[in-house]
Amino acid sequence: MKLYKLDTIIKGELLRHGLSIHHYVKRAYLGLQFLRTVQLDSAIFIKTATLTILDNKVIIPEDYVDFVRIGIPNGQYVTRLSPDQNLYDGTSVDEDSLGDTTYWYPRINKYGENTGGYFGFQWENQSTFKVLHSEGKILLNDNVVNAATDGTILLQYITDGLASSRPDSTGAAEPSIIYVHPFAVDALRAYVDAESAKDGNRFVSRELEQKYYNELRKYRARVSGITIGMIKNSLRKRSGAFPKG
Amino acid sequence: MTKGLLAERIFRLYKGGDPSDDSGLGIEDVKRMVVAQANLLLKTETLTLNKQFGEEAPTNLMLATYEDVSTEAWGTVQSRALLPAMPVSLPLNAGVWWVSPDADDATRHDQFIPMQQGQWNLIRNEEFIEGNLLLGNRTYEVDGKYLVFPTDITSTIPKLLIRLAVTDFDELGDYDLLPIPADYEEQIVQECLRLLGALPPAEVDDTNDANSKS
Repeated sequence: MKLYKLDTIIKGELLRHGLSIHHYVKRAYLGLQFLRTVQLDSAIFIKTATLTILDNKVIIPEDYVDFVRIGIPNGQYVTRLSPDQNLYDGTSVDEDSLGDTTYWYPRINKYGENTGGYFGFQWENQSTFKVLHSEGKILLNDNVVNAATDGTILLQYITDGLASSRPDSTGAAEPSIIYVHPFAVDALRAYVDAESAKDGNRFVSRELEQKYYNELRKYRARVSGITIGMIKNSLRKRSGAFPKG
Repeated sequence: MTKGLLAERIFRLYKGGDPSDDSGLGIEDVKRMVVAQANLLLKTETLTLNKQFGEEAPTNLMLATYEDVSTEAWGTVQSRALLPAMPVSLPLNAGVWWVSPDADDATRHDQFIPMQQGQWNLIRNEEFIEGNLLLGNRTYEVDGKYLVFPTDITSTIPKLLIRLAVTDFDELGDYDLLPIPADYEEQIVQECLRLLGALPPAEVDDTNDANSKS
C-alpha cells in the first residue's frame, strides 16, 4: 500500500514556500495535529493487531482510539469476546465457591453472533473482556486466557494513524516515522498552510481556510468511497412493489 | 577586492596619504572594521532584499562551512558541540544554517532539525518523537556558543559538518577575496570612514516638509 512519510510532506511544504528548515518544527506539529483530528471523524482506519496475554491482560497499542472487535483466532474466523463491565481485576474466580448463585451472561457463538436462549439461567462461564483505559490495557476473563492456546488474542481497533513505528521491508521497525494515506496528503498540506498563515494576513488566512475545508471534503469523499450508484441504491432500497390499498 | 586592500584604502583615505608608524589607529583595527561592516551588510541583504523575493536562504557568500567539529557529552543525558564561530543573528536562529554528521557516507546529507530554545521540552512527549528523533530526524537547540543535542550522540556522531551565516574574520587572510558583492565595497569604505569620524554624519531632515534641512 502506498503511503507517504509525514516528514517528506513537511519538507515538500517548506520547499514549496521557499522556507528554510528552521520552519520545520511548527509545520510538523501542525501535520500531526491534522492527523490526530481528522482520523477521529473524517476517516476511520481499522487496524488488526495480535496481542500477547500477560497476567490476564494485554497492552493496548499506542495508536488505539476504540475497539471494533476483540477475539481469539479460530482458524479463518475469530471467536468474538464480549465486553463485560463487571469483570474485576482480581484473583481468578473459584467456581466452586460461587455455590448456587446464578449468573447471567450473554450467549454468543463463534462468529460473534448472539444466540439468544436465556432460559434456565445456569452458571456459564463466558469469554469476556474489559478495557482498562487508565492502565492502557485490556483485562481478559480467565476463560479467554485458557482458550487462547497460543497466548495471544486478536484486536481490531480504530487507529489515530499515529503509531510511530511500522516494520519496513526487512521487518525491522522504523522509529519515529509517521505515514500518511495518499488521500489525506492534499488536505494535510492545506491544513498546514491555513494554520501557518494565521499569524499573517487575515484575508489570505481566510482564503486558505476555505481551501482546507474544500480539501477536507474531497478527502472525506475519497475515503468513504460512496458512488452515485450506491446513493441511488440506498434510496431505492426502501421502495418496492406493494398491493394497491 | 581583498580584506587587506580594502583596509589599506580606508586607512589611506583616513590619514590623507600613507600613514606614519606612530599612528594611533592600526591597520588591524581597520581590517576588523571592514569584516564587521561586511557582516552587517550581508545580514541586511538577507533580511530585506532577499525577503522581498521570497528567498529565505542567506546568500552563499555569507555561509562559511566548518568540518570536523567535535561533539562532546554534556552531563549524563545530553551532548553538545562548540560553534566554530559566532554566526550573525537571523530570525529563528537561521545564523546556524546547516548541521549534519561529518561522515563519508550518505548521512552527510541528513540535516539536523533546528529547534528554538525550549521547544524540545514542549514536544518531547509527542508521538512523533522517539529518542532524539523527530519524524526520523535528529534535532538541536542553539545555546549561546553551543549546539545542544537532546541525547548523547557522541558515539554515533563524533564529528559534525556545520554551515554558519558569518564572514569569519579569522578564516580570511589579507589577500583572500572578501566574500561580498562588488557593489558593497564602496558602502563599506564609506561606513568605516564615517565610524572613524573622517566623514560628517549623514544629515537627517526631521521636519516633514518640502524644504531640505540645508
